[in-house]
Amino acid sequence: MARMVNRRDVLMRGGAAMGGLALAGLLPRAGALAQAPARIRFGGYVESQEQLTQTLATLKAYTDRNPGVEIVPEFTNFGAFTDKLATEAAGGNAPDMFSVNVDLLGEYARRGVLDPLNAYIPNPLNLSDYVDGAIKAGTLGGKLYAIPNDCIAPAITVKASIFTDAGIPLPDQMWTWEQLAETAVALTKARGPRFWGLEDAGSNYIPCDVFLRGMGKSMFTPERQFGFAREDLAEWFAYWARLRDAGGIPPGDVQALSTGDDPSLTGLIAGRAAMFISLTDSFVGLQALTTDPLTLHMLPNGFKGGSLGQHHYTYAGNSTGIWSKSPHKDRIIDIIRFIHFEPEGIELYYRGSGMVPASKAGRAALATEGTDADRTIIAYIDLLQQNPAPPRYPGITGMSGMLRRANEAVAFGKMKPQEAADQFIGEAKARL
Amino acid sequence: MDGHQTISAAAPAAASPGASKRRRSRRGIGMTAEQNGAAFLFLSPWILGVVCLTLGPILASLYLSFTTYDLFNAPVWAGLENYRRLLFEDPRYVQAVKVTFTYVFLSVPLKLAFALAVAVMLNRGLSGLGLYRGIYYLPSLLGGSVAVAIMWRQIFSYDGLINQILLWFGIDGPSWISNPDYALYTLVSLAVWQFGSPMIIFLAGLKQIPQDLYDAAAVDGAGPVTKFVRITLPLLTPIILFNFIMQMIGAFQAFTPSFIISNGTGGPADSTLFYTLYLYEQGFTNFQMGYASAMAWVLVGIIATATAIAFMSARYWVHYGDER
Amino acid sequence: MIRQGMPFWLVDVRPKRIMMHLALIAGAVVMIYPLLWLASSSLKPSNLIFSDPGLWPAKLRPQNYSDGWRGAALPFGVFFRNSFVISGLAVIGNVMACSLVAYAFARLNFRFKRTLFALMLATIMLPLHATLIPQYILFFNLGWVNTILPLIVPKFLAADAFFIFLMVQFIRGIPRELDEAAAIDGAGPFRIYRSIILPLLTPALVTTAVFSFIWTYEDFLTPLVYLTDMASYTVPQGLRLFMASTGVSAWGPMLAMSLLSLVPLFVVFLIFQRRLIEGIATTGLK
Repeated sequence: MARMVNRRDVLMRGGAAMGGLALAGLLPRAGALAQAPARIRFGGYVESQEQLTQTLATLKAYTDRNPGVEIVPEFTNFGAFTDKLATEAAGGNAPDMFSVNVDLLGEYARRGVLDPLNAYIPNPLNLSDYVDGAIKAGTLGGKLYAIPNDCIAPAITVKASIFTDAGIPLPDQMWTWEQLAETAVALTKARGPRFWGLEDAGSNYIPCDVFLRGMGKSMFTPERQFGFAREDLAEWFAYWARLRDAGGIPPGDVQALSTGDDPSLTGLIAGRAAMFISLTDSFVGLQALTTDPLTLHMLPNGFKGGSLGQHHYTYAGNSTGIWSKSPHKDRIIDIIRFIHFEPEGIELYYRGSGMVPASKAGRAALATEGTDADRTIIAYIDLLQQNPAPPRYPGITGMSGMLRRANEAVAFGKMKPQEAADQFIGEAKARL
Repeated sequence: MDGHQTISAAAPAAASPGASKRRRSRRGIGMTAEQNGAAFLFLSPWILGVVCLTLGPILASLYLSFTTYDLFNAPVWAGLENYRRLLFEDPRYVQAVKVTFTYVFLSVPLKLAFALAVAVMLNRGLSGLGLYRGIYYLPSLLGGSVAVAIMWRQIFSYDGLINQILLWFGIDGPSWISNPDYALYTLVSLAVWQFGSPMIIFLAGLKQIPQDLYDAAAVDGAGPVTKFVRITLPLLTPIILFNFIMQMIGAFQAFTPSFIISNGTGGPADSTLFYTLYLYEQGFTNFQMGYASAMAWVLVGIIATATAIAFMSARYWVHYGDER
Repeated sequence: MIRQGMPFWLVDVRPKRIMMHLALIAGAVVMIYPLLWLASSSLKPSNLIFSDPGLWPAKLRPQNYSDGWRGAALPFGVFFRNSFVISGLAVIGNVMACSLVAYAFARLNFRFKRTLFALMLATIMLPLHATLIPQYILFFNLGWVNTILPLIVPKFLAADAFFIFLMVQFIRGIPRELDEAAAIDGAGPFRIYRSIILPLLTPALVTTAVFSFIWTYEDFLTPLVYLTDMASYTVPQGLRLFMASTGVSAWGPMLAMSLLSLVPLFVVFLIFQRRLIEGIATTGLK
C-alpha cells in the first residue's frame, strides 16, 4: 500500500528541516513545536467587524499550516471583554493569550497575570523597527509584558471644510494651546449658535498628558507615580473652563451627550463641532460615519512664549500578552510571530482591520495597499516619528472616569478647577 | 347553590381581617408531621440548589466583604475597614445611595400605578385586547438593549424628540439626558415606560378572579366601582404585594439602564450613579472586590429591611383566599 | 330594579368605549414610537442613522439585514439557535421546579417554613456582581465552564426566587376548600398539586414561562462569562460583536439584528398570552 504523502508528513519533514535551521539559531523552537498538539484559547476585543473577520482568517491560516494546533477565538467588544477577563483570571481560567491595552496591561502585569516576554526578543520576535513608544507601552519595570499589534497616537480630527467655509486658516502643526483656544472661538462665532469650534477634551487624559508635557511635566513617571503638581492639573481644568465661558467649547450638558468612546455620539459626527481631540484609531470609524473629508492634526505642542517640543507619543492600542499560567507559551509566541512577521499573516491580520502596524515595514506595506483613511493615519504617524516624544507609561484603569467627573464638576459649576484637580489626585493616588 | 353562597359570603368576609379567626375551627385536614415529609419532597430541588450552588458563593461574598481582594491575589483580612470606609469616608457612595433611593421612590409607585390602571382597562373585554396587551408589553421586551439606549438618548437629548415637541409650545428645553439635574428623571421615565411586566402579572391576577363573584355581585346590585373596590382590589392584593416587593427589589438593584445610557459612567457628574453601578465600578474597574462586596451586603441589609416592612404592613391590607 | 342604582355615566356605554380606545391608542403610540425608530433606522445606511434621525429613511439599505445575518464570524442563525435552546430549557426548568417549591410554601406546613421563605427571598437580594466571581470559581471547579450547565441547572433547581414567590401568591389566591374537598376524597399532597393547583395556576404558569423565556434570552452577563466558545454565543453576545469603540461600528446591521432578535420574543409572547385570556370560568365548586 502506497502511503499517501499528506500535509502532516510534509510539515513534519519541514519541521525536521526547521530543526536543522534551529541549530543555525534562526528558528530555535520550531522543531519542538512542529509536533506538539495544543488547544489555545485566544481572548480579545475587536474594534470592528472587519477586524474580527481578518483576525479569524489569520488564525485559521495559522492552524491550516500547523495541524494539531487548535486556536479557540473568544472575541467580544471591549467593555464586555474586560469583565470577562477579570472574572476568568480571578477564577484561574484566563485565556492562554489575550489582548490588552496600556492600562489593562499595567494592572494585570502588576498582579502577575501576564508573563514577561523579554526572553523571546529579538528571537524569534524582532521588534527593532517597531515604534519605540509602542514597545514602551507594554513595558513595566523594564520587562515587556505584551507585544504591540498596532500603534496609535493622539490627534485632533478636523473637518477641514468648516475652516474653509468660515474663511479661517487651518493652523500649523506646531501651535500653542492659546492658538487652539482662539481658533475654536473664531469657528464658533463664524458658524453661529448650536455649533462649537472644538469639543471639550477636559475629560480625556491623553490630551491632558500632552498638555502637561508642554509644561515640562507628565501624567505619570516611568515609576508609575504622578509627574505633575496639583496646580498644573488645576491649570488644565481652568483652561477648559475659560474656553467654555468664551464659547469655544460646548456647555457641560451638550458635551455630556458624547459619553464613552462611541464615535457616532461625538459632536463632530452630530454636526456641532469642527475639531475633536481623539486618537488615531478612531479615525477610520469617524470617517466612515460622515461624507465630509476629515484630516488629522497635531494637538498644541506648547504655550505662548515657551518652546514648542514634540509631545505626541505613539503607543499601542492593542497588544497581545500571555497568561502566566498557560502551558503553551512557546506555541503562542509562534502564533504572534506568524501574525507579525510572516507575509501571509501580516496581510490577513491588518488588511481592512483599521489597525496600523507598529513596525515601519508594516506601515510601508499598508500605505501601498490600504485605503485613503489608512494612508492619512500613516502619514500622521510618520510625521510624529520624525521627532519622537518620550513614551507613555502604563498607568491605572478607571482614569478616564475620574478625570471626566472632575471636569464635569467644573463644567456644571459644582467645583472650581483647583478643587477638581485635588479630587482627581485624591482618587487616583489611592490606586497607585 | 350552596357553594355559590359560600363564595359571595367569603368575598366580603375576606375584606375584614376578623373573618380569618372565624374560619380557624374548620382547619385540620393534614397533620403537621406528615406535611414535613411531603414538604421536604416538594422542596428538594430548591434545597439541593441552595446548598450546592447558591449558598457557597453567597457566603464567599460575605467573607470577601471583610477582606481586601484585588481579584488575582489571595484576599487579605481587613475586618470592618471596608464598611467603615463605606459609611463614613466615601462621598460617592452617599451620592449613589441618594440616586438609588430617588429612583426607587419615583419609579416603583409610578410603574405600578400605570401597570394596574392599564391592566384593569385591558381586562374589560375590549376588542383588540390581545393587540393592545402586546403593544403595551413591547417596551419591556426591549429590556436593556443597546437599541433602547440609543433611542432614549435620541429622544431626550438637546435636539431630540421631546425638545422638538416642546419647541411647538415655544419652550426651549435643556438637554435632559446629559444634564445632571434631569438625567435621573429620564431613567425614571425609562423604567415607567417599561411597565409591561408588572402589567402582565396584574392581568394574570385579574384573570384569576372568578367571574362568578362579579355575577353574584351584579345580582346584588353592585355597580362597576363597587365591584372594583370590594371584589377586584381585595382579591388582587396578594399580587399587588408581590409586584410591589419585586419592583422595589429590582429598582434597588437597577444596573442596566444607567450602564447603557451613561455608558457605564453614572454621569453626567454622578447624577445617574446607581448603587450597583458604583459597586461594579469598584469591583471590576478598580479591582477592589472586597470593598464592592461590602457594598453588596449593605444593600442586602437595605433591601431586607424594606421588604420586611412591606411584609409587616401586608397584614393590614393583603387578603389571601386561604385565610386561616 | 337592578338598574335603579346604576350611575348615570353608564347609561350610554359607547362614547366611553371610544374614549378608552383613544386613550389606549395614544398610550400605544408612546409605547411604540421608539420601536418605530428602531425599525426605520435598521433600514438606513450606517452613516445616516445619527445624522438624519427622522422616522422616515432618506435612503433604504435592506442589505443591513443580510449583512447582519451573515455576520463577521458566524451567521446570526447560530446565535438564535443557542438562545432558543437555552431559553427553552430554562422555561421547562423554572415552570417545573418553581411550582413544586411554591406549592410547599403556599400549602404545606413544615418546620422552619418562615425561615426558609425568608431565605428564599434573601437569595435575590444580593446583587449579582457580588457573587459573580465566587460563582465562577465554583462552576470552574465543577468543570462546567464553557457549557450551558451554569445557565440551565439553576433553573431546574428553582434558583429563580422571583417565580417561586409569584406562584406562592397565586396559589394562595386559590381557595383551600378545593384542597380540602380533594383531601376528603383521599388525595395526598401530590395529587392535590397535580389535579387541583396546577390547572388553576395556569395564568401564573404561563406568566412564568413567558418571563423565563424572555429574561433568559436577554441575559448577557452569565452567558458572557460561561460561554466562551464563539460558536455557543447567545443573541445578546452576538449583538455585542457589532459594537466597536474605535473602528467602524456596524450600526445598520446591528440594529437590524436587534429588531430581528425581538421577533421570537414577541412571537412567544403572543402564543402564550392567549392562554392568559382564558382564565378561570368557575371555581369548580360543586
